[in-house]
Amino acid sequence: MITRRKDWALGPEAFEKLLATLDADRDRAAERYEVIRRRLIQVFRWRGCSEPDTLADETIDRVSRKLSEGEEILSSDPAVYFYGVARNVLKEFWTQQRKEQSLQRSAGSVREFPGTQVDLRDREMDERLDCLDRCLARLPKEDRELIAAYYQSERSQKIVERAELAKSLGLSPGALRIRAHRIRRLLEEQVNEMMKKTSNG
Amino acid sequence: MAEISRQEAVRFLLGEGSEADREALERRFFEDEAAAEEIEAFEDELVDDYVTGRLAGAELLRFEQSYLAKPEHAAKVEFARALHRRLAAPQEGRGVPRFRRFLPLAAAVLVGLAGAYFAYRFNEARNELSRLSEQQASLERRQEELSQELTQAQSERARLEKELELTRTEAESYASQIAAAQRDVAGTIAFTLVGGLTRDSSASQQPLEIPPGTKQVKLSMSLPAGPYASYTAVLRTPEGKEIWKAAGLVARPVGSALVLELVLPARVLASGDYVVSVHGLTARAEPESIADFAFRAHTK
Repeated sequence: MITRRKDWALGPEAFEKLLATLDADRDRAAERYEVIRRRLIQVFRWRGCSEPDTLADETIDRVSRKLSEGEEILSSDPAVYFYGVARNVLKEFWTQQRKEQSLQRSAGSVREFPGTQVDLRDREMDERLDCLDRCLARLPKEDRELIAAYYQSERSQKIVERAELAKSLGLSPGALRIRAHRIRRLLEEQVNEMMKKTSNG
Repeated sequence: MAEISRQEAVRFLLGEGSEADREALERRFFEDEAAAEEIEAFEDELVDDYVTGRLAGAELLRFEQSYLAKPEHAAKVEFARALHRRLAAPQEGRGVPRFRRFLPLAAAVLVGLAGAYFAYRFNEARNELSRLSEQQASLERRQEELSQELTQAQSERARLEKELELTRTEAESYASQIAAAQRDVAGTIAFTLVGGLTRDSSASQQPLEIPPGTKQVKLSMSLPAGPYASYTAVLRTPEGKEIWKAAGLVARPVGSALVLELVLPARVLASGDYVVSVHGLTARAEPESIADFAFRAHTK
């Protein structure tokens, strides 16, 4: 598995420089940073990488290092530059993965997938539902009602009911879909974070 | 930029298509905010379809072999499962222990039976309520009909009373007219004289028959000139002897003519010839001769 390089760490100065590259306004730059990090994690996850968070952070470290060394981002959108670096990290991951699989085959080890034990899964689900309840309770009332209405549609009536919901909120069905997705994404991030904290003790 | 189709997004999420296609879509994911949210929303829906059992056939197989085979997607799938368990009607069956699969069924049967019982009782109560509502509606309709009938009857009674009053008034009027006519027949006799005649002409006229008991004789004369402020009528014998005089008379228009009426006591008339001389008084009170009316009276 690929690990973050030990010979260089993202210090405060490098981080400020990274933010300044993303946007002149520090708050907007911080938001942009979060979006890019989240997208990096997504791409690594879609590519089947284990620990996509680590790979995303490795990508950010590498970009910051380049910037500290005086390299300039020539792309009009810095996010695309991050993606270019992420591609290199991904290729390294694949190389590393092939090596590990080869070793595992020769050692006759079997990879154990998480969540294969029913009891464990049930316990995790209870825990996840508990976290979800707490995160739902934290949502603004409007968002909580929207997400509840959005997912309460019956299977056969889903399209019609969601169209009616969109109409009642003065939104197009597409806009409602994206709004529900944003609330869900926030919930998912909060639940995962909560689950991670719980498991870490 | 072109919108991303579900098919395109699913192919990408399931790790299908060429590396160039995947890279192109990933690049859009980084540089196009709307495209990024679209892909994420398609992923939510794909996972939702799986956990709610809507994914079937080849797509289900591809999902299980590709997407689900990546342990990194487990949290995403489990989150979707939790979200649907909490917010939507329970529709999933995957990953649930065998004995626990029957619990919802048993609960559903119990709920179904209870539901059927309550539905039966509810239906009965609803039927009773419906029957009572119909009765009440029927009574209300009948009350409304009776109310309308009463209003109509009252209106008819008022109309009849009005007609009766009118009939009474008319009857009284007729009675009055009959009485007046009877009085006229009994006491007054009326004649119409033709004006502008010479004194000799009375001989050629039918005599005015004055029956016994007549108290008054009314003479109507159509005037050849006028109008005047007032009129004077003088009754004379052919010899010029004045018998009766009336002044301050007023002519009344009848059609296009002016008619002057002179009422005499019948006792002043005996059988014989008479002349009525009519004068009109001008605005300066100067009399002007208008016409003479000759007639022959015959008393019995």
